Amino acid sequence: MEAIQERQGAALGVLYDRYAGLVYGLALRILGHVAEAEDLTQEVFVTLWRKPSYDLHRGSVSSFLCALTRARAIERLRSQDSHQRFLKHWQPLLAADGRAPIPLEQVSLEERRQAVQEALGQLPESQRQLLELIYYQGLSQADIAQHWGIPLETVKTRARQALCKLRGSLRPLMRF
Amino acid sequence: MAMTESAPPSPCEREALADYLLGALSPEQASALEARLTQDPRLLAELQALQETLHLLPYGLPGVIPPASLRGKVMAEAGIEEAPTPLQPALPSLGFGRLAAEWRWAGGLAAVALALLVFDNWRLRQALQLARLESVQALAHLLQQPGSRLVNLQGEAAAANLLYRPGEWQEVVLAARDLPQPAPGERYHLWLKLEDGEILHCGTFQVDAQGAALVALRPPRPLPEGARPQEVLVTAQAAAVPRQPQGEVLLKARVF
Repeated sequence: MEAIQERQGAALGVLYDRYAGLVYGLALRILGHVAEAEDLTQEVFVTLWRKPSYDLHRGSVSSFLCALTRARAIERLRSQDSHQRFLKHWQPLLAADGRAPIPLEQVSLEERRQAVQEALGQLPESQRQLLELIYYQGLSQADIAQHWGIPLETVKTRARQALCKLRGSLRPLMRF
Repeated sequence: MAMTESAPPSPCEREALADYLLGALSPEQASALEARLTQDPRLLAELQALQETLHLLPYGLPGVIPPASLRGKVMAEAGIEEAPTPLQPALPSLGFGRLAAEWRWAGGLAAVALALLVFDNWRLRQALQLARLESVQALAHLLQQPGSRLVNLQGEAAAANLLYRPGEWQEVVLAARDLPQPAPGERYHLWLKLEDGEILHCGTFQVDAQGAALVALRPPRPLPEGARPQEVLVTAQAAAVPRQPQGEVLLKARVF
């Protein structure tokens, strides 16, 4: 990332080779459209190159790329009103400053993939689905409660438990 | 909800942070928490750890590979000129000798296609599509191994080709077409059935709008010593890694 900030062209290629699959897969999951996913993947990496706002002290590169991809993808899905509501939740966190976790980049992509799949597999189906609805579709918990006919408190409890369990399961992976 | 200098976040605090991240707090609650975050670096660190956890979710998605052409578009849009990547180091044992050493990327892809000419037209088209994979190095690596095989999986309405190296199964490349869109919450899963009846999960994948997929899969478990592969299967079932195939077998083929 330092090389990106120093405008070393080869660095973008290296980052692309490492993370394009992750970014493209996330974009495809949210947008559900190949051409849109390609377009967004291009947008994310070009943004990274032109405005390298990533700060090593905020977290891992992959987390930054996922946050950016998710935000831009859901931005495309949403209306202007709800878009603002979404940004209200996520933008402050993207800009948050603080102590850095140990970079995830030390762990191989495949190791992460397996660990995350195993951790997700340990969650009850209801919790996993809720977390995915929130993450991939940007739905509010109130929307989910209304749409699925589940009490809001139940939705909140399940989503919270899911995230906290994942935090525990993936702690060794993140090493912080 | 107080946190001393040395204490880790309490379960209650972690839950409040999770609620904040997941958008479950009222505006007043969120403002109060944000005020605490500005004054408590350890609470902020825990929030970032939860955020990092949340952004690991995409790693749980089935592996997909963007089209190879996308890389060039990104680099062009960024105004970066790259020299074509020579494929020669990845294909030293393909047997093309000095000619191969002269070939660059495009030539290497043609070599991949040539290596597959013995297969029927559809297989060739698939091979050419495979050459579009970002992970063409993985494909080339498989092709250069002695004894790598391409097997055709058949189903009622769909078909697929699987490139693998007998005895290893550390990395396989699958090209499928005409698969139906899986039900919500489901993904496609590739399985390897052994002669003793054991079934190994090889990976998950999803298809594009046309029901096609081009993926490199890396089975999470190595093949048991002395195992004799018998059959590969494709099923559609819950996205989380299942222990056994369930439901209809959509594609299958015998392997050796």
